[in-house]
This record gives sequence, C-alpha cells and structure tokens, in this order.
Amino acid sequence: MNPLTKMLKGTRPVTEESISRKEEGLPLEKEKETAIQIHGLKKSYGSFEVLRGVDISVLEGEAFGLIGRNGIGKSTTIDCMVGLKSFQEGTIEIFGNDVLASPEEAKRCFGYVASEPTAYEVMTGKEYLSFVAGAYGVKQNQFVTNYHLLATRLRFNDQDLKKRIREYSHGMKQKICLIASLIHNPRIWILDEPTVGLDLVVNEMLFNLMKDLKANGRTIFLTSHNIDFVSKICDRVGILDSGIIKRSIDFREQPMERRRLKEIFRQFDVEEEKE
Amino acid sequence: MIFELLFKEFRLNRKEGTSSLALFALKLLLTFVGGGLLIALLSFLTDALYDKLIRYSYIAPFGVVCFFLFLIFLLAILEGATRARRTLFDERDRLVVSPLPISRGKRVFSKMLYVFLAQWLELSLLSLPLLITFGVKVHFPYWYHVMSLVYTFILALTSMGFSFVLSLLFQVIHLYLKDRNLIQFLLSCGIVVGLCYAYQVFLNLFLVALSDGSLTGTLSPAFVSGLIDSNFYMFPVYNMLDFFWGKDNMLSNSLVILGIVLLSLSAGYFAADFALSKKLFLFESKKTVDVSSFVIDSPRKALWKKELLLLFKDSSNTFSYTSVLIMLPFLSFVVLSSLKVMLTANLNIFLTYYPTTLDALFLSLILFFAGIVNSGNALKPSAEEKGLTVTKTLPYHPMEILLVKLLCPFALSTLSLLVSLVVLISTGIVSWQVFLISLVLGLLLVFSMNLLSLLGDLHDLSDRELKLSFLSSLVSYLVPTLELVLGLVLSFLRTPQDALYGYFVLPGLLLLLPVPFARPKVVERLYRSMEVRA
Repeated sequence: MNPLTKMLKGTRPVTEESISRKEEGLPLEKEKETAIQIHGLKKSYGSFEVLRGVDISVLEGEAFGLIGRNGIGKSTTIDCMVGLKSFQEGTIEIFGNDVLASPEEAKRCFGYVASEPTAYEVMTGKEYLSFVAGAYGVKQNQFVTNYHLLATRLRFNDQDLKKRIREYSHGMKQKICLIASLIHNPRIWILDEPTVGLDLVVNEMLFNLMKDLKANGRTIFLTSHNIDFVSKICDRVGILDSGIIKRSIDFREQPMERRRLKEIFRQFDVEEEKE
Repeated sequence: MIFELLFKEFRLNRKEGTSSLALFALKLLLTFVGGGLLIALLSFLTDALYDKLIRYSYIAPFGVVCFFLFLIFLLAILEGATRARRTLFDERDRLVVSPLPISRGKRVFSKMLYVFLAQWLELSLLSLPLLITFGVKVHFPYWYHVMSLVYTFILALTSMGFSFVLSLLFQVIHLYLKDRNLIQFLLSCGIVVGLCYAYQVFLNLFLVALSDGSLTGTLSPAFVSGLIDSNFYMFPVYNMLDFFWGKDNMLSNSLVILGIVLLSLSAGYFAADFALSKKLFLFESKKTVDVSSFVIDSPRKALWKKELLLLFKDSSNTFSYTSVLIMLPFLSFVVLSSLKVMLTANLNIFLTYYPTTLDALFLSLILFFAGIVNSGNALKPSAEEKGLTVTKTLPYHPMEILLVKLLCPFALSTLSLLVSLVVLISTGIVSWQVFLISLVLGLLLVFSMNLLSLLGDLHDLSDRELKLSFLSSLVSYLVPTLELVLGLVLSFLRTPQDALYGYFVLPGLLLLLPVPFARPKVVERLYRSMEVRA
C-alpha cells in the first residue's frame, strides 16, 4: 500500500449521511460534500474594490485552481478564506463551517501554504513543527508517521530540524512550511503560489504529493501563475478577472481545454488590454 | 564606488522603521541634547576630579585622565568589534554585493571606513571633553586643543583595526552561542551585572566629585597611585599623551604610535579580508535528530511554549528583555542605594524639612525602571512579523492567543518587580509604605502597559489611520513623572506623610483607563479584522 494512502486511511470523517449511505448500500463516491463554498465575496482596500462578488464552489476531493493576472485578487481570496484578511460582503464556508461564525472549526479542516515561506524564523525546524502539531492537537505517534512520510516525499533532511529556520534556504523554508501545513492531515490543502522559488526537482515532488493527496480524496485549492502546473493537477479552474470569476472550466467535462489553458488565459489578457 | 559602498553600509546598519519628519526632528533634537548633556557631565567630572586629585599629587590628574582615556579606547574597540561583526557577516550584504563586479579590497575598505567614521565620532564625543577640560585646567596653549583632534583621529584608526580582528572572535563566540540558549542567557546576565557594577563605579566617582572631602571610595589614594604606576603600559594612549603634553621621548613615542597604528590597520585589513573570503562553519552539532522523541504538547501548552520561545530565543531579546528582567533588582538596588547615600550626605537639611521627597523619588524611579524593563518585551502581534500568518491561520480562539500575549510578559515583569522590591525593603532602602505602593502601582503599570501595547497594536494592524501603539511607551514615562511631580509638590506643601501615600495611589487610577476598552468582544473583533499580509 502506498505510504500516503496508509497515512490518509480511515481519516475521512464518518458522517450520519455516510453511515446511512453504507446502510443503504450506496457507493461511497457519491457522498462527496462541498468542501469550499464562497458566495458573493467582496473585498475592498480603501476605495479600490478588488473582489466584487466572487462565487466558487469546490467539492470534496476536487483540485481547484484559481488563476488570473498579477494583483487581480487571487491571494486576497485565499487570505479571506484562511482568516488573514477580513471582507466586506459575502460568505465563505469550509465544510459547512462559516469562516466568520465558526473560524476555529473551519481552520481545523485545512492546511495553508503562503506564497512566501511563513514560519517563526527564530525557532528551529523541530520547535516549529512541534508547535504547529500541538496547535492542531496532533497525537505524538500520528506526528511521527506524518512527518516521516512528508519528509521522505519532500526529501527533507532530519538533521536540518535542529537548525533555526532563519538559516534555511528558500527551498528548505518552503519545504518545512509544506510539511507543517500537512502535519495534521487536513481535508483541504490551500496553497497560494506554491511553486514560487522552487527548483524543478522540488516542483516535481510537490506535484506528485498533490497528485497522491488528490487520489486519496483530499481537496486542493491553489492559485498559481504556473499555468502548466495548474492544468496538470487541477480538475477545475476559475479565471478571476475584474473582481469576479469570469470563466470556470471543468477539465473532466472539457478535457481538450486543459491543453488550451495558456491560450485561454492569454485571451483574457488581450481583452483586458483592449478594454 | 567607495562612497556608494559606504552609503550602503550606513543604510544597511540604520535601524529600520518609518518615522515622520516631526519624529525625526524630535529624535535629532534629543540626540543633540543627550550629547550635550554627556559632554557637560564629562567636563564637570574632569573639572571636579582635577581639583581633588591635584591636592593629592601633581601627576595624579594626568594619571586618572590617561586611565579614563584608555578605558574609552578599550570600550571603542569592543563597540567597534560588534559593529564590524555586523557589517562583515551580514548575509543580506553578502548575497547582494558578492555577485557584483566589486573587488574584495574595495568592500573591505568601505567597511573599514564605515567603522572608522563611527568610531571617530564616538571617540570624539567621549574623549574630547576630557582632553579639552584637562587642557583648560592645565592652561595648555591653543595648539594642544588642535592636537586633541589629531589624538581622536589616530585612536579611531587604531581602535578600528583592532575591532576588525576582535570581530572574528566575536563571530566565533556568536556561532558557539547560537544554539546554546542557557549559556547565552547566563552570559547576557553576566554582562548586565557587569554593566550594573560599572554604573555603580561611575556613580561613586560622581559622589567623590560632588563631596567636599578628600579622595575616598573608588578613587582612593592607593588606587590613584596604582594608576599612575600602570600608565606606562596603556599603549598607545599613554604614548600619545606623553608625545602631545610632555613632549618627552618624541622619537620613541612616535615610533610606538606609528607601529601600533600600522599593526592595527594591517591586522584589521587581513581580518576583514579573511571574513569576506571564508565562510565560518564552526560548532556544527553532530547530534542526530530523533523525531520520535519530539514532545507534542496540548494546543494551550504549545501556545505558551511558542510565546516563551519567541521571547527567549530572539537574540535581540536575550540582550534586552530577558537579561534586563534579571537586571532590574540589581539596577534598582544600585541606583537607589547610591542615590540614598548621595542625597542624605549632601541634602541632609533639605530632607529633614521635606522627608517624603526621597520616597517620591524612589517610587518614581522604581516605576520608571519597571516600565522600561517591561517595554523591552516584544510579544505584541506585529512583532511576530511573518509568524503572525501562522498563528492567524491556526485553530486558536483570538482571546486565547491574546491572553497568553498579555499574561506572559506580565508574569515575568511582575516576578522581576517583586524580587526588586523585596531586595529594596530587605536592605532598608525603601520603607514598607513605598514597598506596598510601588508593588500596587508597579503591577498596575505593567498590566496597563501590556494591555495598551496589545490594544494599540491590534488597532494599528487593522489599517487605521490613527496609530496608537505609542500609548504603551507614553504611559511608562507619564506615570512615574506624575508620581514624582505629585510627590515633590505635596512634600513642599508639607502634606502629612500618611495622606501623601494615599495621594500617591491616585495616578494609578489612570492606569485602569484602558480596561473598559478591553472587552472580550471588542478585542476579538479587532483581532479578526487585523489585516495580515502573507
């Protein structure tokens, strides 16, 4: 059995719905629930309205990519989802938990990776991972299993755990942030520009990790400028433009669009210039 | 190119932080006032001590001035070494400048020039008042004062070279201490205690200068005589003074000075060149990491541990808040006991008429020290910088996070204050009334400061135009000053002692003002609306 599958095995929450489905003999595949539900999200910086009513719905087990030009509001959307920024209007629900009404419950469902490595740089890798695991209430044996698995996948050297994070290279910092974001085995992995500053090898490691997580029913929500990366990993993409999702593409329904994603993205740029 | 590099050094080593023009002007004014006061103090000390020392022996003033100048020279080397280490081992600088087509020689030269200029300024500020006051007292001719400028120039050159050599040793110590928190902590405590002792010696000198009697305390005749005997070994300070003042042994002194300057410059150059060409990998721990031995705490414990780690692991905090916490009892004891001796010896009659003046002064100083110590803690959310992104995305309730941020420094500062007060009352320096009032007001002050710091920071991080984070510092100065003014006024009005202690508590009510603003719902809303940029 794939070690990652072993790690994720049995972690899917048992809901009343799933119990009744099992009892009725219905296939478990159909019990997918909405992982992320963003409705009418509006966010302004002063008089500048960056998000004018974003609507996104991501099902459990889906990989969703949010793409768009620089400064269009992709990171702002993620920041609002994870609680880094407040917003003026709209609702965001993570597995049914409203991020404003029950933020702690919502936060327990996801792991988040920022575009720039964000960690307590005065801490050692060991102290940082122990803190994050403690914050999520991860059990010691679960921590050891998860850590070993992720460290192996990302080729993170155990010896580096005793160094202060401020001494890490950019790639190492990003690796420890990736490990920390998955150490509690979250149901959703939210990544903001995860490939920035990563070399080809680490990029591939990240890609494979995402693929395995997706195969094991985890939900992925990411923003990226790396269109190839997005088109390969995502089931659906949303193109953010002028503060709303201008176009949504489901690659499962339109497989040919996967290859044309760059072209479609360029068209948006040209249209914007014309306007 | 050298000027661009020099400018870059000044820019890189400037303290970060944006400030308004008004604040900059205020800082500049305060720097000038502070510098002026320091010069006045040094001139006064030299003048007063000269009159006393000359009665002991005609050579004694020279011996003591030479000793002080030598001390300043040593301090300049130490201070310069920390500056040289910062500039030589700055990773940002290394990353940016290394790929550029700039020769190592130019980089070394610009760094040496930067350290030299800073040291020349410091040496001039500290040495010139002594040299000029001494020259005036001895009625040296005008050219002597010109030579004083040459003196600071040559000494700055010499100290700069030695500073660069010493910076390598400092870097080795830094690498050794980097992951040894306990040794780092003990060492910083040792340094702080040493500074307290130095402060006491300085205060004692001040006492000697003020008193009418003969040489006592630190400047005993035996000590002065020992200083005069050891002057000869104080290279190159003694040689320069002998060269300028005594005009004796001109050739041998000039050769010694030239030799030391050349030695220091060449050694400094090679040290800087070595530092820029090699990367020091020392004290890399060979211990293997066993992940299964990691202790995973409960969420609450993990949060407390994180705050304590942030407080004690940041090297800047190790040498500020952490060590100053330990220092508070020493500092309070040293300052208050010296003041008591000094004031009761010189203002005896005044204190007989206005006995509570001393209480007001002591209360004010205790509060002032407690405030200063507490302001060194950096647990407000903005101090976490990038880490704030982590905390804000973790499943902690805002009140839990903020409560830890409030209670952690409060508990540590309270402990330090309590130990200080116990030391002061057990040594009989303060009365039990002052002990009790200081304790109550100190606790209120520390609590209020931490609360205001937290509220102000949350308010400022929520993108408000009106910034409030200065309130915490304001309170730390305002309350002790109010206590002092109130105490002095009431003492002069001959207010009965017991009533006066009651009045002392009044300004403490001010400290309760932020409490109504700290309602859980308000604080939670502020935290949630805080805008964090990942």
